[in-house]
Amino acid sequence: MTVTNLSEAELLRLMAAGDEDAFAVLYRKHQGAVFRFALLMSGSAGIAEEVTQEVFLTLMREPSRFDTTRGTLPAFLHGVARNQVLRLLKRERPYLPLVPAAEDATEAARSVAREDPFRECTRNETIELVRQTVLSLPARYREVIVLCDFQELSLADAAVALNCPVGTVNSRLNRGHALLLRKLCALSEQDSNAHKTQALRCFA
Amino acid sequence: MSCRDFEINVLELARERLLDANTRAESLAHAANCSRCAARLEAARALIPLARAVVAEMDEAEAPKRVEDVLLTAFRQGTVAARAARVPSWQRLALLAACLALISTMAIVWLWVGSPKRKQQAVSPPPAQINLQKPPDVAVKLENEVREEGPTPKQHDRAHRRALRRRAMPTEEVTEFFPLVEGIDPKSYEAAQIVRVEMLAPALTALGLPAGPEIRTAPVKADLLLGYDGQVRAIRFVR
Repeated sequence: MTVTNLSEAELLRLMAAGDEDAFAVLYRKHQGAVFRFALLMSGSAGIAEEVTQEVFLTLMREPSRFDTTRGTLPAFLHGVARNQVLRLLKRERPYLPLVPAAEDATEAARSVAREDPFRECTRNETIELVRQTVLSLPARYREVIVLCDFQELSLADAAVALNCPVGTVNSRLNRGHALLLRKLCALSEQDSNAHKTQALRCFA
Repeated sequence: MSCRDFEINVLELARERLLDANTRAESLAHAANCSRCAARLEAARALIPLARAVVAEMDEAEAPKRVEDVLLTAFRQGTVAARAARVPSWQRLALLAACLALISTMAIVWLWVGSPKRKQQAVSPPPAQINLQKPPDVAVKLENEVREEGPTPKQHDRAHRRALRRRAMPTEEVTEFFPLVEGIDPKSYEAAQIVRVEMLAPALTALGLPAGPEIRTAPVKADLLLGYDGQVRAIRFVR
């Protein structure tokens, strides 16, 4: 039997005993989700890379920190990743742009939309708009939306990752959804108004 | 179904995931009657496709290969270091036992040397009873004048300190004991008291000892050997 067929618990046991293959299998299985979570939370590939590295270094050096009775391995990894992202964002805060953080991302998305009218209808633009709007959310709402909507973790796993009760995750998710929708609606309205004006000018 | 129960299922409903048929029906019925929960379901349903589109776009996004290389190198180094640091269990036990023995020895020494009682003893001198053995500051040649007993740790410690004190002090020169009572050999005394005194010339004369002109003015230091009855048996002079 190869290590790829083993359960996560078995892989973790082997990894703790020094089996490099077991660690490699665990890394390849979960690194994508961790990297994407960090990317969605930070908007920076550099931070996402650093976070991924730190998360798996933690797993490698302190495997006993993962308690199977508390939650699943993805929940644990996302929890470590979340702490690392917040730490790195705090560290990088002095180097972030001059525009206030909350408005920056949406403004950037808006400017992208205005620069090239032909890309407005494309899927990529919508995706970018959503990503930037998510980035503009306060961290406590952003993390639950990324975990529950983007990573599709259960409420229980998200609660483990965020180290808070399920009820808190639920209420934050509710408020986060409302805030995200409001922002997206506001952006799409502004953009459609701008396009109408441009179209009128063109026809005039 | 309450709003709280609905909230537990709202994500699964919006994701169109498999849900118990009864639960699904009850949830939808609740949403039909509760505007707040209906709005929540609508919001989730509106956002889930957008989120899935973003995730699909990012599906290829992964950590670069160099991260894996770095981690595997770190894993190898960590494993090697851990193996090197790993000690067999019996060696660990032996090490632990040695550490415990060392700590307990240090604790005993500390208690013995540094306890308040000991310090008090060191500060206050013993009662002014004449030592039955040799006087502490005199290099006596009498070997048999003291009773020999097995040294207890206390006596051993006292002897050790005495030796140290003797080393620190200038050595005295003493003569042999001169018997003052005829027919008694001072060396045969097993238990006796020695009293350090300073005697003037008349006292020496009273004992029948000659007093030269050089000691007429200054007192002479001497040790008196007393018997059980308190009578002086012998005398020796100290310089």
